Amino acid sequence: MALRTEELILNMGPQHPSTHGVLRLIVTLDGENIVDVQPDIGYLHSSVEKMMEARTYLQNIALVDRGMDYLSAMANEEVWVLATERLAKIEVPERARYIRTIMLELQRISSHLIWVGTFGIDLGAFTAFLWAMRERERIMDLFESSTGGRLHHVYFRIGGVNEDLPEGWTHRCLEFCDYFMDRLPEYDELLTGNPIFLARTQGVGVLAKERAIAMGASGPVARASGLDYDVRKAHPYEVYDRMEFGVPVRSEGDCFARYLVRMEEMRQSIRIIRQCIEQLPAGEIRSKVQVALKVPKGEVYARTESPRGDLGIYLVADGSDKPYRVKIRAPAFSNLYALTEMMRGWKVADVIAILGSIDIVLSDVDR
Amino acid sequence: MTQSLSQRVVQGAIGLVVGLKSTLRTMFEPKITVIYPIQKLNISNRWHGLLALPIDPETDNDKCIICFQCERVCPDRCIHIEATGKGKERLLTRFDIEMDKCCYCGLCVEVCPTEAIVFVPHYEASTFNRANLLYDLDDLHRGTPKEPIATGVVKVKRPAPKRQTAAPREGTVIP
Amino acid sequence: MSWELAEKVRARFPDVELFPRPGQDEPHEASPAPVPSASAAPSPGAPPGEAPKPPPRRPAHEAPPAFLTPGVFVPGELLLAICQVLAIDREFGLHYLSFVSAIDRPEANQFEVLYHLYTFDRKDELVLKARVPREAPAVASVASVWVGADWHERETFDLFGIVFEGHPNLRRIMMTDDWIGHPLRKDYVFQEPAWLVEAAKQRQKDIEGLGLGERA
Repeated sequence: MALRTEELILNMGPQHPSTHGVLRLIVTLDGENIVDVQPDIGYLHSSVEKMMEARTYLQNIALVDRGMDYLSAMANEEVWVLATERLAKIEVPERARYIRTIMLELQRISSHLIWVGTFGIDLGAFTAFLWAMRERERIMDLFESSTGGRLHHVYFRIGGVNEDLPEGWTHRCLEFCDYFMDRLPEYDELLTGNPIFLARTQGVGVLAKERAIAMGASGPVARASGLDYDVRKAHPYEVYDRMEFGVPVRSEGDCFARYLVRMEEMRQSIRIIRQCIEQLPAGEIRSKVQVALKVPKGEVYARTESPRGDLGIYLVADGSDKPYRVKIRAPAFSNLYALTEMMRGWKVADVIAILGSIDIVLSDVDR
Repeated sequence: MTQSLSQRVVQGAIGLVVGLKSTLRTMFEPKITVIYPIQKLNISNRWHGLLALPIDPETDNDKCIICFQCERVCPDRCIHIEATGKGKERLLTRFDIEMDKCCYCGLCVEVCPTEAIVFVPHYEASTFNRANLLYDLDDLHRGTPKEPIATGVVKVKRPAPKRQTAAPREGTVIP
Repeated sequence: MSWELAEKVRARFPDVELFPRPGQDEPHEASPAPVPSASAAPSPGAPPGEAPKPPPRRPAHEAPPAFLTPGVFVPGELLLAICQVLAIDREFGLHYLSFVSAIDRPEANQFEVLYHLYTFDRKDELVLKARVPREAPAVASVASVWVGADWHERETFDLFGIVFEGHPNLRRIMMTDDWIGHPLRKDYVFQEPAWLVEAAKQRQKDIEGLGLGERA
């Protein structure tokens, strides 16, 4: 006797603790199985691209900090100053480039730590969150003493960085590296070898490599699906071409692979930071750039590897002191689109695990 | 499931013990929690806190030369300056900062040629009345929040950071 | 970041037009040896050649625009056909669509629809631009070629009002469904929605006399 079934539409969000912001998921369910997921975004849309057209190149550094991905503010600053410097042909002093690289990698660690913590909460492991916050607090202190801000730094400038590192900063940074490398195995004990964690993540939310490419996924999500692509290796910016580091790639494409990729990325980031501090040259930190910089006419696409993936800015300048058009290619926007593919066929309880594993920041999705 | 029940029980028990081991170890480490309003952390001297116009002891006035650079560079346009007179007689009549609009980016501090506008290490500017977030000349000279909310015993928990290369912002009017 | 790929596209499709390049006054004449672009990033794949001639010094607003990212202008009606070849053909291998967007050019009375493509095989990029008129802008959807174009085209439709013909689900994505106008157009004027004005008025009435929110 055939059972008469009916599809149920479940509305998750916009206010939901595990959507990491204001995201609404319209989940179509057949019993407990997910038939279709339609993310509804735009709740945090602030039209940063429009606002940037009304501000000068210097003022926009303060805007990209908070208008885009707020968990990795300096990664946003980096892509903005990179685009401007390429178009205006501004040289950056060596020391500033090293400092930028150190900051970007610290930012990557702090962003991944937030992700580990919140992912743990999503799966019911609260301890990981507290531990990740404890480690992140050290990074915040490092940021605070060098940039003056904890979340929004406004530290990078067109042609360098704002202020030199304070005395003893590199020593404290190395101390943090040692401390962090000691702590990382604890996360392995807590999560990687945890049978409950494994059961919730292994084999869940698989995204095939071809689908990841077709859907535009990038960053750890694509690398967990077997796509060996990292902007830092493919198109090195700052001093990444002089650094030795590995790019973790997994072929499974499930939530656990994404977790492993991010954990390994943090180790590699520590490697980069140590090399940078070792090679850190003395000298200027900022080349002379006028406050109301006029960028010559032209168009350029600058790309960086932000903690969430391939972050790019297509900048159109018209020769005035304000950009004519800025297109921000947000990694989380494309990664969220791949969610529809990942979720199909899984159980409703896996929604949280899969959503948590792609590490979205809604400010980055909506911009 | 290919594993038998006993295997799974043993596996689960191992996982529990491993998890508790880390928890136990953390229990005996020194506590790092700060009870906020009573204890406060040291903040760095580059901290982007509230803005202030410090009083110069030589002239008994602020160092502002009314060049309007900070007003122009502010991304949120939250600084409003007015002045009267001409040349050396120019007098600052209005210097308002709308702290509710301020994004603490520090561009005004950066462009100021005389270091007249600085950050002070205060951050507790929250208030019940939005009008209290408009800081005028007097408030900026005083350099403290209008409504200090979190008051209590200030106990420094962490060792003070070592002296920094950038000169600490002298002349801030912190008591 | 070499112009090799753009040259190849032009060799295959004579209708496309290369972005004007520094030191080349005739962009239509494909030069035999690709000139290395003046990009700041090191490009290991670029052939060693002579440095591009420094352009004459002119005021910033008079100088011709410098296109540092290689790309081609594509006629709107050929876009889909060209994209199908670019995505599948091994010669190009542009499997990855980074984004779709647009640039508003009111003085030319047209939109430039922008596509950024990437190939993992040779780690190279290509920008496609399709010019569409500002009145009734429409261009073929490439969502059938790259699935990921779905949301990007919805975003472009939302913020610019460009209609992507053949798109499976073309509706607003960022703004609310009842929003009037397309915010990223240069002539867009923001108007408070009527319900918001009402709500603000009501709120003003409620807090009147309480001393909240008023400037001293």
